[in-house]
Amino acid sequence: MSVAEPWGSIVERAKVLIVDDEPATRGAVAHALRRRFDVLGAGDGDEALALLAAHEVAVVLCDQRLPGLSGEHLVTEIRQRHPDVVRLLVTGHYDDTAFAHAVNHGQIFGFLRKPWNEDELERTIDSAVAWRRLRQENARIGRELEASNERLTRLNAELRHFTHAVAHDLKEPLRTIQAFSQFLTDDLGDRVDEDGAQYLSGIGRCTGHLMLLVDDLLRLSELENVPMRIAETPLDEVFAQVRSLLHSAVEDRGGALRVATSMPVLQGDSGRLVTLFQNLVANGLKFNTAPIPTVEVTACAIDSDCVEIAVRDNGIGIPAEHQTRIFNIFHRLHRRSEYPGTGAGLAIVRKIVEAHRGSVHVDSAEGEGAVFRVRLPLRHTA
Amino acid sequence: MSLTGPELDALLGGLVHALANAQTPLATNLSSLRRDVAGLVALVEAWTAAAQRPGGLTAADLAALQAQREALYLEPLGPTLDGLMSDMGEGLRRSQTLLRAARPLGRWWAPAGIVFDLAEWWSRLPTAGAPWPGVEVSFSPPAEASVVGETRVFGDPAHLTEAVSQLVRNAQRATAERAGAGVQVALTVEVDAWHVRVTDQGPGKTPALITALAVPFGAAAADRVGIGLTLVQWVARTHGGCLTLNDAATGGLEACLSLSRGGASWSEPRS
Repeated sequence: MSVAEPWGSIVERAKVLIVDDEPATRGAVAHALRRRFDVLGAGDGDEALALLAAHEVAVVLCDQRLPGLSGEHLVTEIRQRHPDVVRLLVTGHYDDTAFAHAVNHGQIFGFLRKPWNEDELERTIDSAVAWRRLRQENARIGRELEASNERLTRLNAELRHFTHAVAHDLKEPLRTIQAFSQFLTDDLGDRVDEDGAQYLSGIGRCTGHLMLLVDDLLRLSELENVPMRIAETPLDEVFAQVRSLLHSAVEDRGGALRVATSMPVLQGDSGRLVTLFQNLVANGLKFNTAPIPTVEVTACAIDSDCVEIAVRDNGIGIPAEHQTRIFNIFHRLHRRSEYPGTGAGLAIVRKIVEAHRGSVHVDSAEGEGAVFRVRLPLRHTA
Repeated sequence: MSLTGPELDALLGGLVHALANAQTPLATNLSSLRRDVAGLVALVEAWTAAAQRPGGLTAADLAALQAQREALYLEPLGPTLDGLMSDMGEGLRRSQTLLRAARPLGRWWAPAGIVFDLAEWWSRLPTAGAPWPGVEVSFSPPAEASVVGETRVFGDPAHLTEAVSQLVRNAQRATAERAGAGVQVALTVEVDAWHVRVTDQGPGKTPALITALAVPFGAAAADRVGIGLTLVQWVARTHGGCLTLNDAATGGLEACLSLSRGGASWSEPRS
């Protein structure tokens, strides 16, 4: 038999190829499946490969004992040439060596024993066709997802550059406005009336806040754009710098910063780790109405690869419903007049933690202080 | 020496496979036809019920019945019905043939060895006149010069007769359609071994022959069982010898049964 046996007629239906050297078996399969599938028949491996090259076959039903190329070798060949075709091996007598070969090299979908029950034959082919459609659908979704990812990555990069450029370009005119408003205040002095003095003061406050926002935006975009400098980083040294940077703030508030001794050493970007903990400690002091605002830092090993640093304060606490949103950029829980700031600090914290392949979460209740738990791996992975 | 485990496994595996192959169209077609008939009965019942309603068949009835008929896919059924029935009959006949061929296999399980004289055994082998008709068979009895010592050997004469007969039958089949083609059978006796060569002028060592040699019941042709060469191989092995198939120098096939005179694997010769 050298041409397709045109059983069935509806071209949209899935095509099934039966490879068997018994014409009666090919005819029986074609007849049994004619209502739902287009069935092609081949008497040996060469005919099967020729038909597969000419038709879009969904499922091949391959007898294990064939003249020439055996069934298990034929399914291997089909897998290499037409990986989308689902392969089923058929035999009248189970041969474990042939079956192992068909599974390992031909990656068959299933195995049918002769003589089969017609329902079993149809069920198996149904499953094979459904599996093929699912696999094709998965591949299509995968391709779409990949394209979306590429597009998002590109857009994200463009957005980062845009943010950086805007923040950078805003800074210069802002500084000028700030300077001119200061000149006005200094030069006009008491020549402006009370309203004028208030307007000048308002300009100064707003430009000052805008400068802070722009600085935070620049800091955030730098976290994305400037590569990390990973090195062995003793956290003792990180917190020594944090203490030094926040010395005035602690003094001004009449507060206390207590850091546990013998902190671990981990692989990280020391500059960013300082920024991370500076933000957390500063928040602990800022959002705090206790007589002695206090921040305590402790560390403990989670396992041999990970350490948790807890930053605990006795501040005003964070209501449960806000705890997941506080890490979003510019998300504020209080009016600026109550607690100054831009709302970018915890977004910066999260970015730094994620860049170190770590995690951060907060345990808190309103009025009972907060504990920020930062988990960081001891060894950095790119 | 009797059959080994792998030989028995191959024999049963081959038989099961061949039976399954024979029964597949039988079982599949039977099941398909049962469905087809059930569909037809349902169609006739629907038609009858519609026709018996007051007012008879309406256009909607006809459309529904037509749709029901189309869902049966009857068109491919008509022309192939004879073919399906014929395949089923053939599957049944094939199964019976295989089982008939398998029934006497038990007597090949272990040969009954005796000491016998080759010349005498050879002289009593079937001649071209009776059981091997149609093709000329020529014997080359052992020449005195090629016989060293006596011509007694140890083995099962019945098994050996069957093995040689099988090779001759194969050779006859291979040459049956070739006018003027002949089959030669020659016996050679040596000090420790003896050989029977069956040479024909058929198509030689074909892929089908190689399959038949390797796979019991693996015959591709519908009128063959595919156990003959397996039996000859067993006889050769149980007599401490082997069967080789080669393309003959003059064209065709040379099947050579080479056997040990003492039966290498027979520990205690019995007489």
